[in-house]
Amino acid sequence: MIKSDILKKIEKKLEEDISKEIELIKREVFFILDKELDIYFLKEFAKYYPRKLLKEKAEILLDTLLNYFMKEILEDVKRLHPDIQYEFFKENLRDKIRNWALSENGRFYPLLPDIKEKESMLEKTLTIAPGVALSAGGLIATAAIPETLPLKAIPAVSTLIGPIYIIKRIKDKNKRLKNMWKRQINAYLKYSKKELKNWLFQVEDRFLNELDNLYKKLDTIKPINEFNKNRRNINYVKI
Amino acid sequence: MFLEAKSFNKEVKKFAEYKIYKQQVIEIFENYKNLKGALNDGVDVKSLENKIYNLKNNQFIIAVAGEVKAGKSTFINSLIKEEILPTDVLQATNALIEIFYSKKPYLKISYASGKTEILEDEAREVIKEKLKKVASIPEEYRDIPVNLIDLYILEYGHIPIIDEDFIKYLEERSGIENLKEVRYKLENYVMSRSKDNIPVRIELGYPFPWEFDEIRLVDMPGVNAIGGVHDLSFAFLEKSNAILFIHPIKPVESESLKRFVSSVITDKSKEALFLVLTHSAIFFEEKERLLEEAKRIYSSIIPSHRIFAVDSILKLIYEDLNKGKTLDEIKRESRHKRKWIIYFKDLAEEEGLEEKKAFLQYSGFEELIPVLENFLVSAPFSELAKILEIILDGYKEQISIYQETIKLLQTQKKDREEFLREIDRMQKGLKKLETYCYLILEEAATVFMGVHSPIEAQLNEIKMKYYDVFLNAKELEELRKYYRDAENSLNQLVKENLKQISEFFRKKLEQVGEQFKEEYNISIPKIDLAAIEETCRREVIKREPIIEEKVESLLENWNFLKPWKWFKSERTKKIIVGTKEIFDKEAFLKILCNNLLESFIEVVEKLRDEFYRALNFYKAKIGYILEEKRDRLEDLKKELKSNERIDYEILMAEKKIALIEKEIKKIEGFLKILP
Repeated sequence: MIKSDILKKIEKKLEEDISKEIELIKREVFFILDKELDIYFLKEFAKYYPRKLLKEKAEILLDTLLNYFMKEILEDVKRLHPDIQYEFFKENLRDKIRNWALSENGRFYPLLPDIKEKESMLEKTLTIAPGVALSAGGLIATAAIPETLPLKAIPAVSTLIGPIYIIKRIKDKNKRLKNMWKRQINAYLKYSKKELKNWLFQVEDRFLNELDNLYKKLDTIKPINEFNKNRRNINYVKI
Repeated sequence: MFLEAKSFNKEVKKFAEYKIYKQQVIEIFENYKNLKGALNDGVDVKSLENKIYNLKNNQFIIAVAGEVKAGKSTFINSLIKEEILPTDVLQATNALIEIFYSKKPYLKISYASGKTEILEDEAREVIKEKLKKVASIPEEYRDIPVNLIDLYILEYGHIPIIDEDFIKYLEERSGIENLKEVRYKLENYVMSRSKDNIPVRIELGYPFPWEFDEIRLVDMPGVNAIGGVHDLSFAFLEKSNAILFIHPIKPVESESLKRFVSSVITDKSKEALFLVLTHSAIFFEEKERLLEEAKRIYSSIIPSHRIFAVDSILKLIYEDLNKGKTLDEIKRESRHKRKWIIYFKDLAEEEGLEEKKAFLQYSGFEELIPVLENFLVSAPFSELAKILEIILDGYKEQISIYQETIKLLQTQKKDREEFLREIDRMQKGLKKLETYCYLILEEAATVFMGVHSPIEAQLNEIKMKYYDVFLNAKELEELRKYYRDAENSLNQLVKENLKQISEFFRKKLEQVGEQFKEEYNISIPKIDLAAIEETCRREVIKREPIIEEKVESLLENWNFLKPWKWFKSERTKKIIVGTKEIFDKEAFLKILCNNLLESFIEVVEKLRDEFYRALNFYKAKIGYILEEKRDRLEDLKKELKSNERIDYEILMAEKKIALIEKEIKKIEGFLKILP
């Protein structure tokens, strides 16, 4: 069996791998989002591509986890009697777990991110609010300030800058949409990271369970007793 | 190949020898198949048969590209030693002309509508005349861009309306100004064209005086002023074994070549690119200097040993001399050879050179041909060696199987109990071997799968690199090139990684006679670029109103009562008389780019899946081989044989070994002399 301290080390390594892969997804998605592409295409991209990448990465991480486990186990298995080794490999533990983890019941199936197509009323208001405030302030000030021209000029400029600011902000709509999608994808990936971790830990449980059963089964095979008796007398597989 | 046998040097001989070697390798393979019978020696016969099939049907494609009027046709004529391509005309076709050896003259012209025209067994002049008719611009249309008009009909399936927009489009793309003035010519030309008379492919077979019938020379349509080629040409360039870019020696600098290399052909095609500077006779005194200049200018694009200066006319004179004509006869027959004969005959006399030799030497072909030939045959030769090595390994395995069998049979004859024990011992050994194989497979999985595998990092890198490249493409041609580059990079990546897996297995499983080379049938799903383009095209056609100006008369609409309408300008109105479809090139490129991006993502994903499947392939193959070995032992165990039978089988096995050893000797000797 895999010792608990080793298991912890594997889990730690796996968590690092997950974080790294999530960062890679983010990098890839944001790289495209930052480009001056058709906004409709980008919306579709933001909606479907992160999930696609997640599914892909989940499979690679599954292999990584199985690699970590098998590496540990192989060290032990190499010390077993050749007949037991043979039985062990015949069980094909890696494929068994892999098939389960990718089956309908065991697979990781991330949901689609919630990508908004338009800005909400609140967001729109918040975007143009400074401009409106500036203009309104300017208008009031222009009216309130006495008739001296130099003094009136200051609020008058504000009155003018306000609408310019609003037009500019509205023109920057795509940029803002992209930033909004980025925030949404960030949140989605954060959530998915947890889901991915949970799924891989489920795989881990399954693996350890299967491994336990396998060892029990192997225990019933005769040579293992001989092996236990002569633990120091290691019979390596040598071709 | 393109030179007389007498002028072959050691390097050139390779091409002639290739054909002989190839035939012998095919024979060796046939022998191998017979000797192998049903024995499993670990060689994948199907894959080997496939290699032999490719060998038999192999073609060497030499694409000849270059601007219109660069001298492509004369160059090809001088290569094939036959003046069959029309040279004194402007090439007017977007069609490729494929030229190959055939015992009887044969000309097939395929038109855009699917219609074909075939001329068989006709005289050279008839074929030449037909080619001239199909592939050259009629005199009256020399000043209009007929190729562009034909391309338009090919792309859109209908003839264009000759309006101002279309004329502007033609002027922009062709660089020809004032086309408005020849509008009637454009209209006449358009009216005479349809898909039924636009050729897309011309195949010319002829009994050329060359001995190598596997070469297919492809005369590419002239690249445009900015080095562009259309899709069909691009596809041909992709599969060419060598691309000869023809360019006049002066001026050496060529914008079209630079663009052809940087934005049109793929990086893979660049590896097959030669620069052939033509018309060197005109600047004979400066030839060396210009050649050096070209080597310096293009050093970053083409290695200097693949840049040549030639003169096709001089080579044609040499060919005429070879056919037994005298210089006086040649002078009389051809005016354009005349001045060169006078000049170079003098020069040859001055330098004390024999006439024939001199013309060949001055033509520059003596330098070009051996290098080209060597370049073309090096890959096929290594393929021959590869096949022989596979067969050799198979034979070695067969010998060890026969020796093992003889040993077992001898034991059986001597002591039946001992024989059974021997089989049990061997079965145990196989079991151990199988366990070992599983161990290796597990180790391989930990190395080649998962986030730390080499392929993952490389795939990510390629993906990011090409995202950037696609998105920065400015022209459709660039996008097409980059996409193929990306595909080629992915192919290379898979090939290298599979090689690494093979190495891993080979090292670990040498004792088992591991036989898997690079034959996993992994292919990158090809993307139907044409289909994507078609979809995009449909999406980006926008409708624009056709506006006409109309001037109302003073009497219309009580205009005479409205003083402001007394001016003509006030009575001029713009009215919509209809709509027309406009192709938005910018939008097209953008959408195409998006679609390519999506397709590329799919391809990378599929590639990863396929790569991982390669590991399973190993697993299955190893399992199968070991199981077969075990079954064979079990069969031996069950079978009770008489001593006579055993002696006979031993004798047969020994005979087989002797035959195999003979073949092995042959192959080893062969491998030693293979260049």
